[in-house]
Amino acid sequence: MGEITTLNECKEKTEGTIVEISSTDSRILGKMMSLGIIPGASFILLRRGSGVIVQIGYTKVALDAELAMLVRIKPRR
Amino acid sequence: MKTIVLAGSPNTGKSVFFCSLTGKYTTVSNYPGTTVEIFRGIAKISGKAVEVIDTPGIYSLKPVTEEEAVSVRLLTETSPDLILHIVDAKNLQRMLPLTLDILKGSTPLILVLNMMDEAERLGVRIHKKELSRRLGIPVLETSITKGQGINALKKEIGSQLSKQGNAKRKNRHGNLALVHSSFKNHREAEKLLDGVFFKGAPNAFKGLEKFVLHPFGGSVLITFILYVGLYLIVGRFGAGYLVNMLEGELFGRLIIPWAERWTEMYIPGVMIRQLLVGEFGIIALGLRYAFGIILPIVGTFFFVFAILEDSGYLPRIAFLADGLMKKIGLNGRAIIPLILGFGCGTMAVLVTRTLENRRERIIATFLLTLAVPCSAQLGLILAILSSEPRYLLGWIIVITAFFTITGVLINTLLPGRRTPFFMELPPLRLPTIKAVTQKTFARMRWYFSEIIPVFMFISIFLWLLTVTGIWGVFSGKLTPILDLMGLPQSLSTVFLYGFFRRDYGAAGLYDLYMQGLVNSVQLFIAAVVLTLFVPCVAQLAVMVKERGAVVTALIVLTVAVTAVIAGIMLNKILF
Repeated sequence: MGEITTLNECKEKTEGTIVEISSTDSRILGKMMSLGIIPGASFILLRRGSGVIVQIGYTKVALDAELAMLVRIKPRR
Repeated sequence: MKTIVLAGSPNTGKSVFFCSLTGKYTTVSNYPGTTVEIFRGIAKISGKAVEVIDTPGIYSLKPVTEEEAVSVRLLTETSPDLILHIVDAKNLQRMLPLTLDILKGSTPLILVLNMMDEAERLGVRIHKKELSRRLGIPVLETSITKGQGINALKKEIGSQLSKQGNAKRKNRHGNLALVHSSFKNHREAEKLLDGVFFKGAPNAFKGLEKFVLHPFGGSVLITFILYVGLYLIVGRFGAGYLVNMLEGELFGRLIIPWAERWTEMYIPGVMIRQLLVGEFGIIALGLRYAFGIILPIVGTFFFVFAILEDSGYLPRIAFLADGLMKKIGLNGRAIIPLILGFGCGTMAVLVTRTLENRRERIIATFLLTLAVPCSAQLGLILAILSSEPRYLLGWIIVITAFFTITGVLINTLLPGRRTPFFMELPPLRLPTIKAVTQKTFARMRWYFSEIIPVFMFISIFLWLLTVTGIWGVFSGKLTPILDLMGLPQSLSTVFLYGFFRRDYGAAGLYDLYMQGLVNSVQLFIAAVVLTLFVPCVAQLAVMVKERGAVVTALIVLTVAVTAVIAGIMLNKILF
């Protein structure tokens, strides 16, 4: 198991588990939750650009760097 | 009459249900946020008429954008007799928390697992009987675009409604307003789905999907699509070939000469004849512009845009454009209304509802008003200027520059902040011919029901002005401004049309160009000024409704002044 880092620092093809969303803003938390970005969910990082595209379950979600930075994750391997 | 509400996350197919229940078409696409208003229709279920309400998608009962707030209000403040919660079956885990929220109210609920075909292909399995037992509500499976499961659903709706009897219910879900999806809810959903929902194979990320989202490959693709879609199909085919056929051949050689002969024979008064076939006549100007020039261009644009929408490509453009959009105080989300603006600014202003805060909606509305030409303008300008490629290039550069500079300026001047970008990417799908043509025709019908009354009005209004002699005085007043821009007086008509309808202004310019009344530099300046100039009456009305009169007045004033200054500056540089 790797070190805990944020989604924004992951390379493409990284797989792992979401640990927490470091925000107290209920709007942001609600948004993330409704897209399936919740602690315990596994993800694959598909694309990096100015933001990231992650897949969680069957959902592909685009997040900008600002939001990706808030998602703390634990990479697999 | 009983009322049922279609609710659920964005892009789960609510509008397709609405259409197959009521037979009434509302726009359906493959991206979250297609529906921005509530639509009502009547369905016949078990022999009884039932009102069906289609709502914009929501992720939870806590709205983020304006169109979501509309749905949440409907769910929490009115009392329908039945709610259909429509979910994307393969994403049930993520969508069930909303079901649990809605269940906390007391309106009877049916859970509809839609897109079962896609879920099955991926190997997802759901024990719907057990799920129904655990939730205590009916659970049905459908693949609505293929028509699968709709009969069973209608039957279930019928039996649910007949169970309730006819007593008028009071608003029973006041408490629903206070509920919103919480983390606890997600855990509860997880528990509920244990032993009921089985994941299948992950959907692969490869091929086209990978290319589309590639930072470089994706940009190449956008340029290619703009070239083929806008330039070749809308510009060359729609505004070039089709306009020639309809306006030149059909109207020019058949309808108008025939109408002139006919009025000559049967209409006694010169005045009335003028109203029909005179310079601003209903047939000679109104009908010719509407059906000969604007119809083919707007039609081809809506066709191209429908393909883009149904393929699921637009949210991907939003991701790629996010970085650039942030420079003008917007985020990637705003690219969708802005692209739609190239079709019809009126529609686009309505779609700015999908943006998260008021500041973003104001910036987008401003840019739509100033620097995004609608398809009729764009098509005609492409057609007029394509004979002089350097002016076409010049026009593109000037308009892009105005878009960027004013965007950056308004972003610095306007207080407040943009919101972060997040968007769900729907699967890429091959658009079907049926869905694309259905949508194109539905939009064209909407468009023409908007413009036909306006063109009648313009024709009559301009006819009155000419007959009374006011027209001469008025265009005399415009002359000094036109002089400053180096434009001939004949263009005053064009600007006046442009005020009523952007597309008519462009059509008027096209007319002058065909008659050889303007030279190419004047054409270039006029094209720039007309593009930047104030929006048409329809867009103005929507702006007042959506943004309020004060903001609209400020935008229009800024835009008008900017357009005139641009014209004067270009004239100084070029002459």
